[in-house]
Amino acid sequence: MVTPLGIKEGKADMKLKRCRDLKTVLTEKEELLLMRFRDGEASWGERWSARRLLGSCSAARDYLEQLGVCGDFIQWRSTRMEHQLPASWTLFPGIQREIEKQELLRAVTSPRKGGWVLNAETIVRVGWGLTGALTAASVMILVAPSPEPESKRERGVGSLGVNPLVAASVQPVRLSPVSTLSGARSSAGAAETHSPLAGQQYGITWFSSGGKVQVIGGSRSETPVLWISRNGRVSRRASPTPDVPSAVFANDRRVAQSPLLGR
Amino acid sequence: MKIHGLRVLKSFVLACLLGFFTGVSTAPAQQQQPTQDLDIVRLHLRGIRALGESGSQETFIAEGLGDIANKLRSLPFSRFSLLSNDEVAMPVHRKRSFPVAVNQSVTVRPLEIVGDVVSLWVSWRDGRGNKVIDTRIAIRRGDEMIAGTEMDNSEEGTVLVISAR
Repeated sequence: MVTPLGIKEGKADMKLKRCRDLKTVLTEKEELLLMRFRDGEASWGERWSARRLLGSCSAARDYLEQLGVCGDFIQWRSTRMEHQLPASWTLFPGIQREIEKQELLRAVTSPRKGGWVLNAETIVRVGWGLTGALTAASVMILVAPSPEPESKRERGVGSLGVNPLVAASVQPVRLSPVSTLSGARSSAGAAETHSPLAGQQYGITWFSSGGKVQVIGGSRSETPVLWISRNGRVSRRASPTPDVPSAVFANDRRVAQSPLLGR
Repeated sequence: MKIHGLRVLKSFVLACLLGFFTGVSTAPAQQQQPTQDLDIVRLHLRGIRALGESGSQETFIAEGLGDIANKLRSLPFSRFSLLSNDEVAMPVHRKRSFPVAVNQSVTVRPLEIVGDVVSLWVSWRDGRGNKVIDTRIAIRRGDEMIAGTEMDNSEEGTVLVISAR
């Protein structure tokens, strides 16, 4: 049997196989583009791309050529089948019989109504739904801030346990002298603070530093000066006003462990 | 497969939107905060260079530092000169960085204003990016926060003064 292109049927099958083999050369996108181009379904831009591809790539030209051969071969096969079939022959009775058989089979083998079949698709859907719900919940938590209870707000949530602003609105924020601080004398002659309320005396909610912090001065009418010594010792220089009390807070590393300032 | 993927994506987006709007609509209404978020605080930031041994010579305090002269005298330096001087009006929750000295900057963010007390987040870093202080402190309008640190050689220091108006 000879095809319309003059290729024998066996050779046409080989061509078809080669046509499939050529798909390894071009990408799927390029193949689809060439198919649409050949079928006349390509848009203006796709036609331009296809022409450009054909102009630059021999594999594309081969593929298009094979597509043409394949297309002609398929057309020839279908034409031949049409010619072989009798004009009065129709497939519908046979198809209808098959449909009825399949429906009967489905009615017998299908689960009861209301039953729930756990298949892979259901699992995937439930999984995605749960993921979506979790994401939505996370976004909600992040975006919609929860209101702070009134009692908690009044007490303050700072690391010192007292909101300095609320406290300050009741008591003056002007700092009292460090005589209120308790603690043992250090080698540097300064009183080391151990009270977690020490920072509150200075209106400090939390504090961290790369060095040791020395509080200098701070009478009832004045705020103190925070002196940060980063050389690992409490201010090498002596305070010029010995009667001014001072207190060492802590360096950054100790703050993390000590109750001092709550950090 | 593509259609299935689109359906899954659609249901995912719908679930996200539904959860979000449900959460937002069911969230209790925010109570009236006592803070004045729209308030503006006027901050005056000064960077001061401190030099010299204290006690060995008479203390010299540069012009413009007279209001904090007493406090500066308590520091172990004898000469104080102004390095930077910035006065800005900042709304609450707005963050801004200011130079303190050469290669040193301080980042300030007013957090709350309650009455005439201003709560500030202050982060001061030196030229090498090391933390000098990082604190939340409340100061009264008209008062100032003074913090200082010595340089590596300990012969000079830098003082930061933040006052709220």
